[in-house]
Amino acid sequence: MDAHKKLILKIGLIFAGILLCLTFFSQTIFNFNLTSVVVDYAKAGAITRSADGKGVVDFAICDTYYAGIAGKIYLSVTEGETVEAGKILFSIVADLEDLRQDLDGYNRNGDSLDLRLQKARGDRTYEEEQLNRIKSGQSDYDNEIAKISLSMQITEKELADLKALGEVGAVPQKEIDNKESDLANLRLQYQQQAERKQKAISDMEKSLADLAYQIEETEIDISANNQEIERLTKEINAQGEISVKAENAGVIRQINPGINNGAFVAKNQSVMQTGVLSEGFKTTFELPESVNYLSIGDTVNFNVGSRSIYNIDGEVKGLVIADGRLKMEVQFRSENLAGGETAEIKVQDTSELYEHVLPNNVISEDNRGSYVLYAEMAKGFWGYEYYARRMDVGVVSHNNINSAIRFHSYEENIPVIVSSDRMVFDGERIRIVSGSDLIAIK
Amino acid sequence: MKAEKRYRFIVHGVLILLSGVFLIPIIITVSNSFMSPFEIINRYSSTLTASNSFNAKGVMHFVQMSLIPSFVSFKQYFKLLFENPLYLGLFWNSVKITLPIVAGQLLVSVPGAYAFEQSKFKYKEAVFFIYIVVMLMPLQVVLVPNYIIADFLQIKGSYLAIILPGIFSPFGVFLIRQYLKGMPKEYIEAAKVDGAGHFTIIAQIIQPMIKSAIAALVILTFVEYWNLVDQAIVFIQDVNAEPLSAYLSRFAEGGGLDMVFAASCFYMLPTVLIFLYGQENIVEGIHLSGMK
Repeated sequence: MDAHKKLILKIGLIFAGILLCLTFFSQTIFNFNLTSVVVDYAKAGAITRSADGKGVVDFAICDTYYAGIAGKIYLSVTEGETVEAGKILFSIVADLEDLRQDLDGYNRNGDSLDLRLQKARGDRTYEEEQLNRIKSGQSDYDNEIAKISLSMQITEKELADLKALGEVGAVPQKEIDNKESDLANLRLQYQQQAERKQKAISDMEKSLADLAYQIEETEIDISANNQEIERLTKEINAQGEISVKAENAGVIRQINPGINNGAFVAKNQSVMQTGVLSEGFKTTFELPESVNYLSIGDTVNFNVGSRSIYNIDGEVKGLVIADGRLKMEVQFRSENLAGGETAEIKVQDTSELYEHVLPNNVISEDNRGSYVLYAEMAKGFWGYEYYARRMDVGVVSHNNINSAIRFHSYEENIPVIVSSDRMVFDGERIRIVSGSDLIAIK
Repeated sequence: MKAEKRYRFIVHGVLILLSGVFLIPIIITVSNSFMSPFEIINRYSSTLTASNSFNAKGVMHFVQMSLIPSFVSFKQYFKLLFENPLYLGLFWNSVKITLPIVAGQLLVSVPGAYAFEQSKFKYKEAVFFIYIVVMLMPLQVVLVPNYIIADFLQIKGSYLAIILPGIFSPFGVFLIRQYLKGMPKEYIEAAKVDGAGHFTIIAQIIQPMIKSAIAALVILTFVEYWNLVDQAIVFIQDVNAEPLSAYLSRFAEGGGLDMVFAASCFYMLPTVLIFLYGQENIVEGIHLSGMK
């Protein structure tokens, strides 16, 4: 064998040797460069959505008490105090001179009202008489109508005579025409007078109705005025002092600012509010707008940590979305609360059982919609190989952590790529570093 | 004398020109295999990409063929051998198909040719004529009956569907018989007189004397079946079982454009080595078998 052939043979053997080595190790080397992924199956489960909120405890119903008279006020209770029904809340000592001045004012007002009533009644009597006269045909309207009627009869007779003479040519036609014109004018006057009479009747009836209303109103005013006179008289007789008592058992929720013992209060000024214990409490929780699984009538559970009261059940009475927040009013009953405490709530909703639930980070989204990447097993030259494949999914429900999904193409479960050491793309060959029981789809 | 010189000059000129035409694709393949994958994509990608868009003229992109790489790089070979295990696997598929065919051809062709040469059968020339007709038929014509037979034998989809027709290809018998025709018959007669049987004659007398023809047969058969495409496409459905020759045609389309030249160089290396090794034999073998 010459040197040339030896050289070729050597090159050939080296070539074959290199190829053999590379063949044995190429798959291993290649696998080192593959993206390592962890796969897992979507599990059946429910989606629990929760949210936290806070609200201030308040009484469901409050009674507000006003100063019945102007005067100096003397408080019998303090804020936060529990009171029974009938307990005196505050007293007001009025200035007697002021009360007398008020009484004189009301008396004068009463006189004025009496005069107004008498005048209205007199007007009504007069109007009724006038109306009766018109209706019975004794008014000026009827006299005028009778006159016009008589004139019409005379004119009609004259016109008939003229027409008879006109037929034999004794009177000119112009005279007959003038007479006919006079008769037409009289008829028009008659009609106008009749209309005036009717309008007068209508006006009087309306005036009578107004007078009746005015009389009634004045009588009511007189009645109210008399009550005030009676009250003031009583207060004056009682030396100008009144006491206000609690209508219901409750807690003094608030005494208005500026109202202290001995302070002067104006009449009808709001003095204090009491929370009615028998009606329970309410609080308005602020929650994220995404909490859309609550409805009016639901029962929710919350705590008032500051009073160490836990697991209070309340009923949702109102749900309002405002400023991107859900405001939920809850009514409840509890002891040892005085209003003003902060209540903490954690609402949560557990869905029905879904067949496929995956962590949110596994689900990607692009302009085609939501999808997951799953590991597909295919037979390759060197045995089984795994490829990342795209599977479009529909997100049925989700919370901050998990999503319930529906696979678009397969009914059965598939090994979904849940994490990887770098970005994975559809169709890319991958290396599975954990996960088991992979199914061959291809 | 001058006329003869001018004639030689012209003939040599034409031959050099022709050899240049034949060599250009090989030279381009080898030189471009040292281009970086980036340069390959830039020059040869048919679609506009981020890396070749600066060559765009309007919306068109033109292939920019070049003999010399802008930068010499072995990245193509690295990617091919270390990041593409399928390529190496398919390389051995080609070996698995080609080597049995070459070995089988040797086992069948030499005894077959000897039989045709020594047989006293009256119609042996007619049979040999049919042999030659079959050999001259285009491959695509015999593929159909081959497919039917493979289906009947239930070997469709396996390498046997390619290997069996390859082993019994008439070309080997034809080549060896042509060579045997030029060999003196006295050697065989003498061996027979000495009591040698046919097997002994083939092994001891014929085989040493037709080494050149055998070498030519090995080289030609190896090249033919190393480059087979049609049979693989027809019979092999599994991509992982394909020989490299069939896969190579789809290599560029399958995302391997950036290493297609290196793949081609690597692929043709065995045939080049075999040719260089048996270069003298093939010339002699073809010459003596009268196939020139």
